[in-house]
Amino acid sequence: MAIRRIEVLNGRFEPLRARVGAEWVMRVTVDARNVQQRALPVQARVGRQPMRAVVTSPLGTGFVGFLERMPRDGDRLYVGYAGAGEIETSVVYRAPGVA
Amino acid sequence: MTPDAMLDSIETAFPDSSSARLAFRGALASAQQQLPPDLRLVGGPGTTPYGGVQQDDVVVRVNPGEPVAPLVGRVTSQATWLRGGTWDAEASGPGFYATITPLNAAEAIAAPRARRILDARGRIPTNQIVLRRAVTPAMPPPAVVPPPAPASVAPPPIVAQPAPTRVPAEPYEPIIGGQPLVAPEPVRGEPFTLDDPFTLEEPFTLEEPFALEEVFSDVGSTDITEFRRIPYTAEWIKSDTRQFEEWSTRDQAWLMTALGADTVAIFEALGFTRIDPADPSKFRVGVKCCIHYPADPADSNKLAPGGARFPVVLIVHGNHTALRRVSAPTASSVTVTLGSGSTIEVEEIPSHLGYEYLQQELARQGIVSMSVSTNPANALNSFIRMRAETVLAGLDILRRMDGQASSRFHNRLDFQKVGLLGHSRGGDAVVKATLLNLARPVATRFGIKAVCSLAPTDQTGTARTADRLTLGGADLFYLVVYGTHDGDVSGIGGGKAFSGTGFRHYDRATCAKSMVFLEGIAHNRFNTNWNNLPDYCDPDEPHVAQTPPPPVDPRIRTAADHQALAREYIGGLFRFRLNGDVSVRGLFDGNLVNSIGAQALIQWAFGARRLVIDDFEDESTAGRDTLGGNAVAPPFATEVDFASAIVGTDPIDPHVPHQTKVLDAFARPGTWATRAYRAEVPTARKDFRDFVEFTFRLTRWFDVSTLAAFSGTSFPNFKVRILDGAGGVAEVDQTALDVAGLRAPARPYFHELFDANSGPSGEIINVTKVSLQTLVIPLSRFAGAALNNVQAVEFEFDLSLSGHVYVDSLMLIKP
Repeated sequence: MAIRRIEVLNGRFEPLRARVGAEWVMRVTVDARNVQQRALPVQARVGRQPMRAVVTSPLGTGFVGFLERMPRDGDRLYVGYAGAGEIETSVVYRAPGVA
Repeated sequence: MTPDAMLDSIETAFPDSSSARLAFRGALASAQQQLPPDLRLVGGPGTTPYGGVQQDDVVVRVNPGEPVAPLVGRVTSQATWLRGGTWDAEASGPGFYATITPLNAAEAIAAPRARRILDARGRIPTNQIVLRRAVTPAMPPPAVVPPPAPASVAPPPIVAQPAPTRVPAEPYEPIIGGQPLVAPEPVRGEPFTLDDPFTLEEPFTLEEPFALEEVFSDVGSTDITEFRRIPYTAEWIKSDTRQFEEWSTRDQAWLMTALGADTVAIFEALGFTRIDPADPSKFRVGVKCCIHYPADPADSNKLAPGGARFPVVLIVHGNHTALRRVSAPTASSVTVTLGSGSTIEVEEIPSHLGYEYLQQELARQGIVSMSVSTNPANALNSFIRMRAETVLAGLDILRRMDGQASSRFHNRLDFQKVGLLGHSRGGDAVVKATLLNLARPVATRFGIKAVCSLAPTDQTGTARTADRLTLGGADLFYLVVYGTHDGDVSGIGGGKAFSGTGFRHYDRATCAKSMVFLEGIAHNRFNTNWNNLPDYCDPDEPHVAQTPPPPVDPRIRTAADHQALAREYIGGLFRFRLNGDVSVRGLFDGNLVNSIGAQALIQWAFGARRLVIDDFEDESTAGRDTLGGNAVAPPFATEVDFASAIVGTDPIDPHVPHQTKVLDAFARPGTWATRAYRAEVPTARKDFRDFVEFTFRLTRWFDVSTLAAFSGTSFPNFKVRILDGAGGVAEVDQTALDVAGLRAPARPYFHELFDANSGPSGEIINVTKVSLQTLVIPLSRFAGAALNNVQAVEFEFDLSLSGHVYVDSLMLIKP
């Protein structure tokens, strides 16, 4: 299918009870459309923190990534392809207990 | 129709190949008494037969130059998709098989046997033709077993998205009896002629030793699938504030956490991963591959006779969708039960089978090739290392087969003549694999002699210098093939961006090397299974994502052109470096034009001897050239990192794909103490007589904002002087350049793409590249100076230009 603008539908932030892999503390699952498998890797960040080990869903429903440290309340998700443009999404992290 | 007339009509299909005509004529003559008189040609070599292959069709197969009798036989069964190699079917690889009763054979081989009458794409093999009676008795169309679905990608089920219209690059007509192709339906009882006899999709010749398609075959009847743990530790590739990493794949629990049980179930069902039987806490990665080899025409299960060891080439594709969901079971799909209890059907997209046209070319050259699947790496979104390890795993598999007495490859492979080809991320991976190979113990190390990066990414170019993948070595040749209209690895952001191109790989390499930058060449079209975008284009081509879509850029070449150039340049590389065929050397130093006349801008640095006069790289030796002599630049010139250069007040890096230092001369009228760059030659290097060519890389700044802006821009004039120790001076100017083949100076190639994720609704981005080109002056042009006593070389700039001129890589070459 043609490359089109990535559409982020939803994002879930899941703290990891046990550290997995390197030093990851949180898994971020992003439901999205138009995330393409191409030469340039998908890259994403939450606030200024880059997401690690981003894996696109094999069935094209979005991607998963990890964070090394807990994001700050209000940190927004940005998505794009490495070296190319980046889009600002509507997914924002809300810390527990923050209205 | 008389037999001779029939033969004459058949021969009109081969206007350019007398040997083909003779071969088929002779075959038909051998069965003349058994053939009906009203046969017509319905399919020539390499074509799709008119109406498919039907019962009672006559198949003619020839084997010129080989002690194998031709076959003339009648089709007596329906055509069925098989892989061949069973007890009742010949082993000729995947394709459509039907029982053929020979009409001209001796009793010993007169028994009917299933033979491969169409290849996997429904085309007649290159050594066969199909004939049919002009008046055919009424028959119901034969039911056929459909082939596996072609490896095209249907878009995932997305709501509210219009399904894109897919236009296949190559027509594919499976056997469905009675379907006319181009001619009208014949009137029963009357002879018919086809309006358009046959346009051969590929040139047909019987002179080549391995031209017969039948001798190209996969090993056995199934792809090789082997699971190996690909051990590596996480590594960090740092680039500005963004960091990309390879994962440790040692932990099955991590895999489950990262991907979830359903995704892992899909991966395991497709053979991408499986739990390590030796350690359930870990998982292994599947290694699937496809091998092509030059086969014995008498028995395609054997390698070509002679006992010689064949060079080996390993091919690895790049990142691409690894699998797709299908709505109903297919021949290649698997059923996966999800955690919810529901099931889905998924099938793998075999990217590794997208280079079979090239593998066949290599087999023609007497080279065994393996194309290895890195779909596990794609599924895991791996960058480089897993792919590089998979390359070495493929070579290890071949070496094991070479050591097995029961294998057809036993003692037939030469692991001191190994070549690697990587496409896209695979192009990065083969560089890494070469370096990993060097780190192996000698006993397990492969003799890698030639590496090709095809439209490669460069994912380490912005890392720390020590972490950048860099090829070197005295016995290695590195080729980069890259297109001006690559819409995936487009070089967006220029030479300082993370998403680099093959230019940076080329610049960093210190071994013998060449880079061919081809006009009109894109990214995906080299892989015949990457036909997953409308009009078979790359992701960021403007017409794809805009509404309404602008026309396809007419400068982008066809898929057939891409594959022809791949055969020529990549096949040529391995002929040159693995087979020692020097006749193709000119493809890599610009002396030869390619067979389709595609323009190219070529950089190169190889020969029996190379002497670098100055490459401007070593900051620690300011005021000295690479030879160690004094170097003096004119006041208007400075040594700069090309991608960091400035024109006026504007950085030019978005349009500079390089990773090299150059001499940046802002030539303009004025009073200057000197107008020339001077490199003094140490006494130990003063004898130039062994060399033949003086080469250097050169370009100027072009206004690439629009095509019109630079179309008429002139090339810089210059003078080069060789000064000897006795005061002799030999001076030439730009008219002394060798402009044969593709050596004439070339302007940039204009290219824009559409980045859908830039700005509020996407942006058109100009990715036109201002790139260096290797220019050549034969040393024979330098008269007036003693070449055995050279004291200095000078490069003088033409100040009437008034613009930036960039010079690099002053060098002497002995071919």
